[in-house]
Amino acid sequence: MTDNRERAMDRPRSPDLQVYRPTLTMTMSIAHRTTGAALYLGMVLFVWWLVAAAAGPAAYAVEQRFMRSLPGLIILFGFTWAALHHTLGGVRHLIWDTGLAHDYPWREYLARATLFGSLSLTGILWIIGYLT
Amino acid sequence: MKSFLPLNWGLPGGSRIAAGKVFGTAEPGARLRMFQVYRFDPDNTGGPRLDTYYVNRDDCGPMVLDALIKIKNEIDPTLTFRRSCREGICGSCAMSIDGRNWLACTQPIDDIPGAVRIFPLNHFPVVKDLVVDLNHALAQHRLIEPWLKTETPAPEKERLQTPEDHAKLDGYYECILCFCCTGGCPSYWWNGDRYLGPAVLLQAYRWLIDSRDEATGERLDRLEDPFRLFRCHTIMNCTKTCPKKLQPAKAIAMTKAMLVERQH
Amino acid sequence: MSISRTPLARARGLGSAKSGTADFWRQRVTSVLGLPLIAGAILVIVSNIGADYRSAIECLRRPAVAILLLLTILNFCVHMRIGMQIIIEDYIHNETAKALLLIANTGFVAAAGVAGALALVKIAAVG
Repeated sequence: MTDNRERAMDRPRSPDLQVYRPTLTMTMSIAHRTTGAALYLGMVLFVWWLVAAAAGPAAYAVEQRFMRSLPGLIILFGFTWAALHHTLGGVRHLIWDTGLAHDYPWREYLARATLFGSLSLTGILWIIGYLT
Repeated sequence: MKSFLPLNWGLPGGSRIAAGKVFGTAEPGARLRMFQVYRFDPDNTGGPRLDTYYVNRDDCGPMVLDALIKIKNEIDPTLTFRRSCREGICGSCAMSIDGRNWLACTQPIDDIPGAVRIFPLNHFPVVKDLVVDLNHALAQHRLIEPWLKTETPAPEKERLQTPEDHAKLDGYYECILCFCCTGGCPSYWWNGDRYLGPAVLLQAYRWLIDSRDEATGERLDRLEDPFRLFRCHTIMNCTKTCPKKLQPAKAIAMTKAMLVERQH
Repeated sequence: MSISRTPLARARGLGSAKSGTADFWRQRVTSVLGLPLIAGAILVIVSNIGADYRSAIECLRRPAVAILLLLTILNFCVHMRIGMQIIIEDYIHNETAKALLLIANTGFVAAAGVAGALALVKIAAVG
């Protein structure tokens, strides 16, 4: 018995992500988590904007200079997509939470809708923002 | 893309998979299929390896289990795996086949393009070759007390259930405990010591909604835990990899809904 | 993993915390309420891209905008805290590191929330 138990401690773990074939819902789940974490950090930018505006013209100018630079614009673009993707992913989760759309093919449609929806909405938003 | 990570990425030393032996060659003419199978021998000092076998498809049954049995009978008698009913009802031959978990006996070889890669159920401790240690998962099953619990004295005949109430169990009672879903669940990979996993939670739900059971609240108490139940993030691997076409993710969602219902 | 414990003892562990539903529900409440809030907040942010200091202040001090952004910050601070807590619990298995990160999480969210809210109140009151 002791022998078996000692052996149990040495047992190898069979591989998981190293062999699991990626699925769309798993990928969207990873994306939901990644965008959520990114938005968590992105909250700093939003608060920076508000605090800079409250602090006065000088602080506001510094913030604006950064946000209009190329890195700033890339971050803002990413932030927009992350916000929209996480929002649509949240809607998908709310639907699944009620027990709906667990069947094939609806669960796949939902996962696809999250991705295409967030990409196209981001595009539309930035085109409108660029034109106006 | 075959997988998110390369084969040995992040695996601890003792779990890393070495290139193994190759049995036979791909001779032209015969309809040969290549099988790459995970091997681990606890009686040897070496770690896991991936062995390659060639099986003549014209001389082999249609399912992956047929090929495994043929390999064991004709090529390499040391190959070890669980199997029993060979018709998808016992749940013994659950394993990772071509990147998802399925029963080898209901997985047609011809549905898989290219080499057939076979591993033990993901992330479980390996006893030998394709046989994993299910002790913890089965103890978790024991934890949810998967039997009818009543205090009212038993009636003279059987406990009655209307057809409608029985129909509510459809899609939940058919689970054969093969643990394909639990093996495919990332939340179980990261927190399987505390998270109960989809198979056990589906079983738990099956008893939560049984009209004859008198311990519903007690069962919910046992499940209401940030790790036991709420580690489920609806990744959906469980539902997709269920060889019985059940929906563990839905069972878990409905369990969470029951907990919300009793709170508000 | 202690080898001196039976599988059932290890599976039962410390028992059920009998909690988790409140956070689960709160996460859903803040996600539903977050839908109109994020839509409104994105409109405000986009309409202020490239705005000079004066016009940004004029926009932010309007009561409707101030209320919207205040609610947005409070709503998502609650949502963020739960979300990050789940991520930490998922991946961090060292109890000390986990405790420190959970404290840092609460600190970060509180700091961001209070700073943002105070800025909005100041703009609305003083300009």
